[in-house]
Amino acid sequence: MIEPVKLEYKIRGSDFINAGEASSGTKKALNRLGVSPAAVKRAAIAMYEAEINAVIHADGGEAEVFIYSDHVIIRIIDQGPGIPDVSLAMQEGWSTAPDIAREMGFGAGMGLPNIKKHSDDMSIETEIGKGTTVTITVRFQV
Amino acid sequence: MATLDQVREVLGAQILVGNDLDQRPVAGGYACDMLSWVMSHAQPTDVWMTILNSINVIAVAVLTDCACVLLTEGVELPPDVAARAQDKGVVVLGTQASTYEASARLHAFLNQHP
Repeated sequence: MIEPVKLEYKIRGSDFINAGEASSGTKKALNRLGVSPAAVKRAAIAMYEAEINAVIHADGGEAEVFIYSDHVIIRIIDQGPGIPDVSLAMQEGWSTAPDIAREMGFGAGMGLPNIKKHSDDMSIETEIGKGTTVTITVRFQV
Repeated sequence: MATLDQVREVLGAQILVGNDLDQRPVAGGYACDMLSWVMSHAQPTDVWMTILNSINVIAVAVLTDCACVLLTEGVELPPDVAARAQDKGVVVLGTQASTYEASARLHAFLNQHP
């Protein structure tokens, strides 16, 4: 089996300025590897939403990206407060984001639904007081 | 196809950041202030019209590869956001027109210059 290309990023909490660095770095890497533009876009959008969630809700975290020949797995890991009710959080329009996030154009309760929409598989492992890991899979072939 | 240079002139918009506008094709527009929505809907040849001027606007412009960001209603571009746009190669234009007015003008122009 061919080893995947692995990328790692730090996501700093409350840092809206550098939010997006992990997803734009991943986007560049996928483009360089010749992945189709549609798949690159889906991966970048899903990852950016997850990254922003970690910035807004969890004081940052880490991103791990594993690029295989036909898919990418993106894992956003935080040590934040956890999600009390995942099915509620998955509903469009449900949001617990602070006003600062809303003023910046986020916090409309679209983040998790948008990740689901742009990925082939999405899973959330969360524990109250411990943190949340969002794992996103995007396949390159439609 | 219309270029961003032509579109800028028709809209009477100012260049806040960017150059080589004549190299950027424009085929449409997208008007929205909710970033999650813009990410999933804006197209690479769109002029994205918004009143948002936070740093995340540049990240979303990079994600969507949109032709430019058009700040409407005379919204100003903060220096740190301008620097980020410059760094990422994102064109930002500005206009006093509302998003509605700018959309209408863009639509009329693109209809005649498909």
